Amino acid sequence: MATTAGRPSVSAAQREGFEHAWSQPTGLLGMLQTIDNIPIAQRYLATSFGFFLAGGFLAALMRIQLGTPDNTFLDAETYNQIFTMHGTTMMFLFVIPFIEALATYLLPLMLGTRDLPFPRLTALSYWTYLFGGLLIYSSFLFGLAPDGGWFAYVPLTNKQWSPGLNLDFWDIALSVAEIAAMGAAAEIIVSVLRTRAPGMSVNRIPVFGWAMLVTAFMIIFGFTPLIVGTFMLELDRKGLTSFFVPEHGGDPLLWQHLFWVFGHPEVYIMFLPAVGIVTQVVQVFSRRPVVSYTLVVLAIIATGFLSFGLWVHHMYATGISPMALGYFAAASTVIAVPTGIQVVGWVATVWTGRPLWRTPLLFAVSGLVIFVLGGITGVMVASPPFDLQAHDSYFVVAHLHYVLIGGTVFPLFAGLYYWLPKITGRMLDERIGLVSAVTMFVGFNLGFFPMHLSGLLGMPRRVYTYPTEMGLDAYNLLSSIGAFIFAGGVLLSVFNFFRSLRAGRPAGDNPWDADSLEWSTSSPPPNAQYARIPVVRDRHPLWDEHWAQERMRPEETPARDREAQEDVEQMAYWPTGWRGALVVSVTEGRPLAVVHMPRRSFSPFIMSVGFLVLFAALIVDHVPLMAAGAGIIAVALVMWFWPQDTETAAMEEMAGPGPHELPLAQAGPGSNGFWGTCVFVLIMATALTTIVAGYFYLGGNVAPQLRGSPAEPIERPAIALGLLAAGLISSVAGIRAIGRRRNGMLRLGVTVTLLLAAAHLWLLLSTWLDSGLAPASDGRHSAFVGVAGFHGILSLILLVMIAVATIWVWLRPADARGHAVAWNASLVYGFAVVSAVIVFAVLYLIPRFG
Amino acid sequence: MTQGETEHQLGTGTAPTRRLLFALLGGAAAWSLHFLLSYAVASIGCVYGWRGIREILAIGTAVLGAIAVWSTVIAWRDWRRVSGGQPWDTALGEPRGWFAYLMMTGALMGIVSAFTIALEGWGTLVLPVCGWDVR
Repeated sequence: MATTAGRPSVSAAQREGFEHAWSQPTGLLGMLQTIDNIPIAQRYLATSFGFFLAGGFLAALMRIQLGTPDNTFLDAETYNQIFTMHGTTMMFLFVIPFIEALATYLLPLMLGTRDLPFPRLTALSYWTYLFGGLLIYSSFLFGLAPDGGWFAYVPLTNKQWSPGLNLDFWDIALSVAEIAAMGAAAEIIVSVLRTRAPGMSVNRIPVFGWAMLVTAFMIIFGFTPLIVGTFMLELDRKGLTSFFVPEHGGDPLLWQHLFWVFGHPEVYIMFLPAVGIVTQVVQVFSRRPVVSYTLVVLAIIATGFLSFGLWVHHMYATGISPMALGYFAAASTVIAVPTGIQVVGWVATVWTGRPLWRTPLLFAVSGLVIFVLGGITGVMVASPPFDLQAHDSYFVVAHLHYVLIGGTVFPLFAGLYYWLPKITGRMLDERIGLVSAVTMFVGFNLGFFPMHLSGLLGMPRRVYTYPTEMGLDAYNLLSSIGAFIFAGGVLLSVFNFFRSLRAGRPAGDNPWDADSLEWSTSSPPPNAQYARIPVVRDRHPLWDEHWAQERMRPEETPARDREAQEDVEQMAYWPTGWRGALVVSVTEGRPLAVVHMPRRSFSPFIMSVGFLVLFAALIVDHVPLMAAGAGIIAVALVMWFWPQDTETAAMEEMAGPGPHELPLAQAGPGSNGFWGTCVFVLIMATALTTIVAGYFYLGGNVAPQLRGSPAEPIERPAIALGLLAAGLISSVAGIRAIGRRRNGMLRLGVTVTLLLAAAHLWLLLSTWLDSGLAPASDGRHSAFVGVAGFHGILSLILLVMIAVATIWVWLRPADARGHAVAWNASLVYGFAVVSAVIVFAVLYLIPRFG
Repeated sequence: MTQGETEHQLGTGTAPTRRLLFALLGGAAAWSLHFLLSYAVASIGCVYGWRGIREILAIGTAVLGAIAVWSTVIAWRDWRRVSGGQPWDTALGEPRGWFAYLMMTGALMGIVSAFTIALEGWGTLVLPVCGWDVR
């Protein structure tokens, strides 16, 4: 049960103060300043849906071209650009951002908190995504749209074979959008783990929350190798390295590994949120909790793990050893087990419930049918002998569209029809919705089922036309007709959305009689979302009267729930001069502390502009513009970390007497910032693993004769490692001094750490610059530079963090904001030491003694 | 681990954090290690012409499979201890449902992981390590 009533009354002045603290800035400048999750999510949703329509338009052009044989509607180059941008748009600019937008909007509401943990990061993610998307689409204006496929296989995409800027747009603009995805993932992880309503223990988190948590971790582990790979590809294209150039000792297959270790989990990154959406929809419209919540969540976690063991099934035709093929074939087959568990759970829920066949459920079930068909062909292509026959044919095109449209697009439409009444406050028209769902279902199957047959009969994918002698005219014409019917269904829904804004009947708070917390607020929800924070006592808080009594004996009402109730009493319409939210323990959902939330800021917008300028300049190699972009980012960073008045007010209020019993968590392991830094460390650890794996791949798999390291002297790197390790002692001493309020020791510890880290970086850089590396003409040297460069960048970031902490503790040693930077820097420092040990072993010890 | 989560005591429906993490994620971690290490050993070993690749892989499969089973057993025992023979739904509900829930999830994850390790390890015994002998 979610309890929000029966509290002591709140004065009008307190209400007014609270609502003022959470009010949104208005006007154009206000629009650029706002960092609240609701307006940002609305923009995110609209932008990503706009990209969906753009990607759909490109698909329509492709189907016109392929509708008849020997068609000249598009030439080969234009077709290449269009099919590349179709895939790129749908994968990077529609599905992932749309899912993250939905999570940005819904998670705080669903978890019972007031905002996401890092509001400025929310805004930064949106603006960065928008600018990245616009940058890549601007390539059409110059006739330079990417044309190497959404997978950008080398050597086709090397500078030698793609000399234009097309692939540079793909590489660089996509990196901007990927930064946005990583930022959103960090938000989601910390949000689900830390900012839930009191009482929402891990076994009460809605399935959508679990799905987004696992998805966010997958984004971290999956997108990082892609960012590393695109960075390496761009360095190759700039002529600085030879990672993928075989004549220089590089290897094109390394790109395929880096791409698909992202690309296959990407399928599940798109599918798992859909699992969350479908579960919410199925249980609400079946009028009962999902059958076996535990198994469904288990299946989500298991899918998350297993999805990282499948990537080579995209590479069966590249000459992998039989035993390695066996590993990937086994994992590719086994993943059908958790997916099957989810499907059985949904079918059983509908079967044993009292289904109400409204549009969201129809979309969900339609998607389920399509997805299962795609899953069956997935098990077929998981088998290497079959895959070698169907590889690069339209059979695979059919399979992936059945999986992605059935497993993602239909569920997203289900989610839209389900949650739009909450977002807009208006109901969509039921009849138009049903017609749209049926039209999309029929159009989809008419369009994509024939591709199985045309593929098996020999229709290759990624070709701009085909001769009539192949005998595939009818299949292709059917596919084109079906695609246009599908598009008609989509447009019907678009019409329905816009119509509902003007003519839809008011939705009310909970039009579906749903179970989760977001339906306890008004529609649309207020900006603060929960002036009174709810206490959760059941997995289905709004259905407690129906279900809780069957599970919970009254005498077992947990004491922790009563304690939580007392904690949240104090936070009703409080604080008033600043924005405050609650953090809870990870497993039990027990209130731990109050955190200060920033209110408004230009810095995310300005920083995104900086990214845009910097990355656009990188495309055209314009150095002054790069410097300008870097300068804008630096200014934005200063603005970001500049102390906020409300933060000072929060510290003063929480230090004095008041109704609160919970502490203000600003620094150290209790603060959200520390947890965000943990996610950053996770990203860097994934990047290090990727780069080291690439190093061994280039050094071992391709050129076993090139075992020696290009950098022979070991003394200076050893001393550099020792300096960094010594800094660990001073770093820990500084952190311990914070707790003991010994400002002198704090200053000394942080300063010594700064000096040691700087000496470490200087010594390493001087060693590498003296070592005569020639990465442009030697893949082995490129591999060395990759590992060394990563550690150099990590050390530079660390140095900046310690420098900020040093300045702060010298100016205001007792200020918690400085302590927070010191704590976070110490965490990164610990990881930097681990990185240094690994890099030293890889670059210097293994070549010497291995 | 966060403030306030270090007080877990056996017998009160929880477990020390390290035991909890092993029971929950030990199986999945063992599978991840098995998968990545097996692939790396098979690939690099073939390039460098290592001897005894099949034996290394078999030993790895046995050790990591055992870890997955061990994690499953730990999770199952804790599930049994905290559920106290109650029906599935009751035990996963209140008042200590979160721990029972994590242990049940850990046990099931362990089973899936051990099964997958066994399935992948089977290839170690029956498939040629570095290539088909087509002579």
